[in-house]
Amino acid sequence: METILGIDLGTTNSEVAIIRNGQPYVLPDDDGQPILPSVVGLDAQGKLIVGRAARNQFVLAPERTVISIKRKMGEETRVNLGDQQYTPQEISAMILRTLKQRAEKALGHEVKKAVITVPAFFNEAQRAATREAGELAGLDVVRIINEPTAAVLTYDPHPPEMQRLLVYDLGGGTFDVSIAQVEAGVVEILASHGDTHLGGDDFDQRLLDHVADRFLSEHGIDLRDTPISRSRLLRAVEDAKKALSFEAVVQIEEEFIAEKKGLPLNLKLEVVRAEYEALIEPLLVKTLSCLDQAMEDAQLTANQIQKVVLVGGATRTPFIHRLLQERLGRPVHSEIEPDLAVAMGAAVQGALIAGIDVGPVLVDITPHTLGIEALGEIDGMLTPFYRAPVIERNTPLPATRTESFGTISDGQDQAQIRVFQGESEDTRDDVLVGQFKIEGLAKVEAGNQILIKLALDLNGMLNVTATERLTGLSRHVTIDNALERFRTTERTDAIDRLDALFGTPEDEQFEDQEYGDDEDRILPPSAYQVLGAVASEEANGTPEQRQAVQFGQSLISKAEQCLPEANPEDASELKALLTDLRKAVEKRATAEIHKIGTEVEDILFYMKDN
Amino acid sequence: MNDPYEVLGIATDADEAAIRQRYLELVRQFPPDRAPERFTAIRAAFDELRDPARRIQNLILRPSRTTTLDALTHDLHARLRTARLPLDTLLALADRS
Repeated sequence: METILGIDLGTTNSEVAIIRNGQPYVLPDDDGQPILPSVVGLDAQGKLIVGRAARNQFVLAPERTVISIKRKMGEETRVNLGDQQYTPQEISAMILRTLKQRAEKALGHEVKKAVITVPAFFNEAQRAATREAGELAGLDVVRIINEPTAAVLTYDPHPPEMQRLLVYDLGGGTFDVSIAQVEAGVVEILASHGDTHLGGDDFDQRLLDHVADRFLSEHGIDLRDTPISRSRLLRAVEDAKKALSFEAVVQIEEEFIAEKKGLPLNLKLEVVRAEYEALIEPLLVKTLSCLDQAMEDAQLTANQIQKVVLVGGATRTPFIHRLLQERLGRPVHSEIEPDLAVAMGAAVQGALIAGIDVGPVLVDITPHTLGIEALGEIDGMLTPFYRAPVIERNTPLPATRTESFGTISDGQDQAQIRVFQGESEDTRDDVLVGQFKIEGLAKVEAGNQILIKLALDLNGMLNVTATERLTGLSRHVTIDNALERFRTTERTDAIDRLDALFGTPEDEQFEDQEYGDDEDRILPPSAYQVLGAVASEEANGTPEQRQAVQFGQSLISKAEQCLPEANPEDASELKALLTDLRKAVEKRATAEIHKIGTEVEDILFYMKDN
Repeated sequence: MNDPYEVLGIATDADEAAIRQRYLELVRQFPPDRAPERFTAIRAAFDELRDPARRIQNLILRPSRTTTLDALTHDLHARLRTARLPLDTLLALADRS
């Protein structure tokens, strides 16, 4: 039976689990440690190190070490590692690849597939970036599942009576709360809420600021100013935070942490638990309001919850137990391993996909509302930034909804379709997921109906179709943010760089990875285009042809946008290529489209760089 | 729009527990990842019926196969005479007000 790994890719720690003898089992490293710190670094010789060694060197070499990369997933940003810059996906891929190697060593054979968990509250871009990290690590990501959902999967799906669980998942960098209903082999998620930038890291930060402020007023030196004293302080407050889960008072002591007038300064400070609790209370109040929201969405009251499950290392904080007990009026359970439950649940999901066992059927939801920007009223004021909801939050997946919109002006022959994710009625406060234009609409009076269909699948992939009711004219796009940004050429480069760092020669599986035709994968040719892809829904031809046509047409529109900025030489070459490309698209000549398309892409890529 | 009772394959006087049991049974048979379209239809039907107010609406205004207004009116009259509302549905509705 094929092995599908379950991977918890956490902010501070990551784990990999498999199913062994019917039970989920987290694989330890050579030293017997199940937890891999999510830290990536280069050692003094420039060799890549991942895990504990990297975490240990962070104190002394913060410039060669990357921590908490998960908080940057989905952002268009780069981080420095030595003299190179990497995307968050690449750094995450290094962690994933280390876990993959660990599993292969333990199992004695190659593993290609994985289920990776993400915070339930991750948006589309963050999910896509995670999937991408998996692909870069040489893994076929068969499913992305939500962390709290994974934790629920470790429970018996056949309780004697229907059971409702509230999962409070506070990790290193993210917070989720999910409410699950388990009955007769079906696990249904009723509601999820959360904050993708709230976790144990923020507790550390608060404590760090508290200590640094005290030191500053005492000695006039800010320990946050130099990277090394900052990283030493961070390590010290992390330890203090952990100790405060068991002790009422801790001493933070660091010798020679700074220098003043040639004299070394020592840090010595006592922190009382109550003091620490006051520091983190505002953060915990935020988690409680998320909890209230989830309860309201699920239309439940505290007495309808049978079990409160705590997941994530940060839930070891006694203060959290106390607050939750007060709020929910019942004791909380942390009987499952808070650090390992998520990876174990991911392995259960993997086994279910591989068909190992007829376990629970999972019904998960989308925690964010998806909508279309339109003219509408917010607080009685007419605005073009109104977000008309199409798929409401907490809708079970897969979800397909269609809403009807109308043109605003007479003779309007095109419309810009902008898709947003978030809970605000004002699109300016939501996240733009993607946009495209439908052109060539019939020139009729205002109110020409455009039907917009959003289809969100289990992995959070979104398909958007806009159809003019009058003529049946339609435009269809698949939206995947991270991939649009991360072009194929860059992807190949990234894999090469990763290979080089891992010291493996031109590797085995990546070639066929790139051109495999696995349906789950969201790789080229259709994946890296989002905007303005044009293909009639009933377009005939094979799927490859349709993809090629979409690919070609999106390139044409992209190239046309770039034309005015091109220098004369590029412009004429681009125009010539576009003429050929249009012909190829018309003929639906798949190979030709790809051949010319690649040339066009190269020019566009080159132009962007200059 | 399909008749939710037909999609779930249950009688119109099924009570809440029966509707849920049938829903769970069908979800196990057609899980979201293996039968996404079927699941979506089952779920939509379940959502129609699990809310007492919507269930009553459904019973009274069940989608009709007739198209003319006269036929529709006739159909509706006939149905209002015969449609039996389950007791728990009525009670649940009373609870809400």
